[in-house]
Amino acid sequence: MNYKPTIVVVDDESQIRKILHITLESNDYKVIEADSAKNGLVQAATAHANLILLDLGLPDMDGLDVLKEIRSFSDVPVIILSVRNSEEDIVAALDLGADDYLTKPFNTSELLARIRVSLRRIMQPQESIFKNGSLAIDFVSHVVTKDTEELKLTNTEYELLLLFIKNIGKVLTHRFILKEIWGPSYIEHSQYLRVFIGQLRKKIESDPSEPNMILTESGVGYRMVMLK
Amino acid sequence: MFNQLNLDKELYIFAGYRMKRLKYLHYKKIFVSQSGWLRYLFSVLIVVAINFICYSFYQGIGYQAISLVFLFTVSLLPLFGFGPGPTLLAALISALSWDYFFIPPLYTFHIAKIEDILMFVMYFIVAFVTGVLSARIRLKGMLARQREERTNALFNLLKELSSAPGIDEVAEITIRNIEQTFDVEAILFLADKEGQITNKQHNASTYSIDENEWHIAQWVFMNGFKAGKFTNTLPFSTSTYYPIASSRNKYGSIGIRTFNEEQLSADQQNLLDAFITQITTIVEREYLNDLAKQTLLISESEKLYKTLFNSISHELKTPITTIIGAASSLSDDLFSTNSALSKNLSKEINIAAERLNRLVENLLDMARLESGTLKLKLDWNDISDLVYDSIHRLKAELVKHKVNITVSKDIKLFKFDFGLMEQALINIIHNSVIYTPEGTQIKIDVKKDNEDCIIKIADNGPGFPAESLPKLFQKFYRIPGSKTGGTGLGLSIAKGFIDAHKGSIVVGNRRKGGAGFIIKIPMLK
Repeated sequence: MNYKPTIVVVDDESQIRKILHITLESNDYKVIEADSAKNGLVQAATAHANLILLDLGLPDMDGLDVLKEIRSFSDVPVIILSVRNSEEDIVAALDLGADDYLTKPFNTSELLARIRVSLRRIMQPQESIFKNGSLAIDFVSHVVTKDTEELKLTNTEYELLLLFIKNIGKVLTHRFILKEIWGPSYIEHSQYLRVFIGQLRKKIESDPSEPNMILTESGVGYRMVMLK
Repeated sequence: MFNQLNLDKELYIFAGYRMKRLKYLHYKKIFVSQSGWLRYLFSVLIVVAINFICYSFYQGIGYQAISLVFLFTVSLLPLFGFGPGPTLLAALISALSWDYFFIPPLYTFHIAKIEDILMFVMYFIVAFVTGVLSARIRLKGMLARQREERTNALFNLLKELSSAPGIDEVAEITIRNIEQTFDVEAILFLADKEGQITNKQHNASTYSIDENEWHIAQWVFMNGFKAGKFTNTLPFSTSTYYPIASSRNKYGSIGIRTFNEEQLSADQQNLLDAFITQITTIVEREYLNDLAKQTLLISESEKLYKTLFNSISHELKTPITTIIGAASSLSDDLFSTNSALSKNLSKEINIAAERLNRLVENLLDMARLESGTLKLKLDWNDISDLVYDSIHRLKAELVKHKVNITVSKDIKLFKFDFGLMEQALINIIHNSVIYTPEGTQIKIDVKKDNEDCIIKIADNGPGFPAESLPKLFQKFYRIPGSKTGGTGLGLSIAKGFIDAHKGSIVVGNRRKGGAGFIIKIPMLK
């Protein structure tokens, strides 16, 4: 019998659970449903889940608190499901350690792609050379090339690129990036981030004005995607 | 405490008393107020002085000439402001003293010669006529001046009132003019929207009254008759109250209190009546204006409600119908075995759901704007990021359009709410997409203008009908005859979000054809 990753779906709407159940099961995942925050926490602790889909709008508990509890005992990837116009909640959830988010309504192919990315991140071992599209980074020699041409990156740009590669496929909030690269006292200086993202894009993107590697997640942060 | 019944009773009880007092005041006014007791004294003194002077020169000029000096004096008196009373008194005294001191035999009132008697009588008549005529001319002059003052006062009132922009200004002008013209204090009560007056006087009033007085003001309002001091109804109150009412409606009442407890003269009373008539006309005008505005507002909101209801219900039901229809077909065996058909049906469900989603998002955005709780999450953002991300989000819709983006190099970071501004751009671009034919080019041009950022979004489609341009940003406005789908919310939401950034958006047709939007985002500190 094939190994099937287990996904816990925490949502109070039975219809959404059902749709997700059908979709995920047909894509070879084992699905466990939880209709409340309480059940969700029980399942997260006991079901050895590989991934949790967590709705932020649960009736019995604030979704962010659920996430906090989960993170207190587990590093399992969590994908947040939320409604639009709640960027603040999304950012808070990501800062609390959620791996990704999807706004309702979402289409299932997008969901499946995100699940694959989150699961792969766990399983993928680090290699010494990373390739994405025409971009290649040698972690040992610190050489970055685009179409075999070597790029001159400043230290900060290199660190930024490294941060994106380490978290490839994952949304990084502005605060997270600022904290990681510039330090905790810089988390409000978002203009630094914009300037460096712009510079980095100019160097690594094939069309810097229409970036396809480092994407903007409006109001939330940035995400580096794996090019096919 | 007065109620209406008591007031009516008092109206009769005090009627007799009032009439007598009025007559007394009338006579007092004619003799005292126009000349004053002092004038009588002066006229006597002047005649006495002339007597002394004439007595010294009497030997040289003869007693007949003295009469001319007296006549001259008497005829001059009215010119110096002496009324008919003092002039007549002077004529009488001068005639008698001429007789007593100058006409022989001296120091008696007896006149010896017949021609002297004739002269005495004629002197008296001439002095009398001169005095009366001069006084009358003076009086006429005074009246003319008074009339002119009244006309001026009325004219000024009318001029001010006609340019008053609202009822409060009308009240202020009314009270100020009455105060200045009549030297009185005034208090105003105006009816509210339900046509009732409350005991809250208008702010422009120059004094306030107690509970009892208020009931008189209310009685005057209800019954449309004047009442209070100097009237037959409740004369013991402190003020006189006049109704502000036309044949059509009642608008309020106005109270007048004189400073020295004196009644207004008949002329002033007439003028006050004229004032109140004019004020009533203006108040009525204001009232009718308000009414017309309200009626318009009600019909507008009814129209809005109807539009909302029609467009929303249509917009909601169409995709729901599609979804239900397609879903039930999918569960049918006939379709489930035909994979091409079922794929088509799922695609339709998807399109319908997207449409439904867009509507719900628009409604939610509108609600956010309308609720006034919209909070901007201002952050430094890259404008080109904003533009490209908006286009990226509209990728599916834009497949059949050409998009051309130019971002000027000197554009730096701007502070704005990325989510809201992106939604604004998406709404505008989406509007271009759905109302222009396939193959239309959409040009987005970003440049800097002083401290501001200017985003131009233009297409070479058919453009907007000129008459619809001013209405494009109105809620639920849709260009008549435009294709179904759409609620007329997108552009008004875009404007709302841009306005929230203290920015601006204008729309127009381009000279070469097509529509153009110009968005200005200011550099927020």
